[in-house]
Amino acid sequence: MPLINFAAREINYKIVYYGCGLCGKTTNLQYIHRKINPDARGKLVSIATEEERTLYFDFLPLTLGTVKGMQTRFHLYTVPGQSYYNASRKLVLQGVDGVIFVADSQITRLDENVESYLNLWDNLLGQGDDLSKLGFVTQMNKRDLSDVFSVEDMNELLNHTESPVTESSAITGEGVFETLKVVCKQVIAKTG
Amino acid sequence: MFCRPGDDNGGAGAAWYGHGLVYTSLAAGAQGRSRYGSGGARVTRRKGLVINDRQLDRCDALLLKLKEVSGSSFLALISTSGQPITTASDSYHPETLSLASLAASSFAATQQLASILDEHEFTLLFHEGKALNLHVAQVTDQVLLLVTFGRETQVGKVRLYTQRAIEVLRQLFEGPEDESMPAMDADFESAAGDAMDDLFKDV
Repeated sequence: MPLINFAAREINYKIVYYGCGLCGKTTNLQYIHRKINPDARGKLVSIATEEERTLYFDFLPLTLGTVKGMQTRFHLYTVPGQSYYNASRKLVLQGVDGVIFVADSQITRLDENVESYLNLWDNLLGQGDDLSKLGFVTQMNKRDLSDVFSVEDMNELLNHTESPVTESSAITGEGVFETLKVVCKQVIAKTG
Repeated sequence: MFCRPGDDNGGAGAAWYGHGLVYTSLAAGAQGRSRYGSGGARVTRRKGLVINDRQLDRCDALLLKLKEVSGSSFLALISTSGQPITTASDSYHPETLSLASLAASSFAATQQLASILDEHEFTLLFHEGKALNLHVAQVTDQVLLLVTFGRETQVGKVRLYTQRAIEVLRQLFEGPEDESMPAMDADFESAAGDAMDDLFKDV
């Protein structure tokens, strides 16, 4: 659930982009950072390796503005996708309000997608929070490439909760804000 | 000077209204505390946390006192999930949102290191710089205290006074929970949806 600060009249939600390595999580955040009104966003913080692979997380605060007298913020995080960084992923998931599972649509990435999806639910269940209160969106990314799975097939494999599905190409920005909007509305509806 | 989280310069703009001080973390179940998993890894569970006017005023007063006696330049109370609660500073005012996020994550990683090393917990994190030092200490399962101070102040002095302050803060945060948590306005969801449509319409 979000942290609501009635003293400062503000509410903060935590959204986490999850998915296998190189699926486009950081690209989502970079696109949002690049395109959104600079007054509505803070600094994009990335803890990455020299090869620009996420080592711990990326962080981007977004401000929705004043809603009903409450300054409303979304804190966007990514996790490191590579499988051996699971300890870091667990830490980033702490206190999460909404998850965007970024699936790499390429046929060659099926195993990595499934492993990451199972790992996500393993970690969420391990936290012991009430998952009915969690916003969840599955983003089928890299739809602009050839040799990709159909959305129907991916949905069957990677969406057992029948959560909302979006299609995207994070590198071009297509579907990036649509995905964000869906999850933001979900977390507000579920926790507000 | 006290700065509320909304004063951060991370694109947020000021949001300090100065009255009705209630800080609340609404959590499903509201009974979670830290637990230790099968592998000994510490997992922080969220619980309801309501701070009334008196509590938050006492936090602010305590931070101000700690800043004075320890000679520190910037102090912040943050949640373990990386959200700022309240800060106290003179002129030095870092980007609070990023600072809170990084400090909480760094502290969480430190806790994992403790677990791996079969240590029950590391209760503080210290970074020494050329001009500035950062001291992060755990208040409760859900709250951390950040203190920055310059070379002119002794580390031992900061640690001593910080530890004393934490003992008082802990009592404030670990007291009985206020069950009268204010609910969000019923129109909030609809208004937030409109605000999102407006924010994302040109991107």
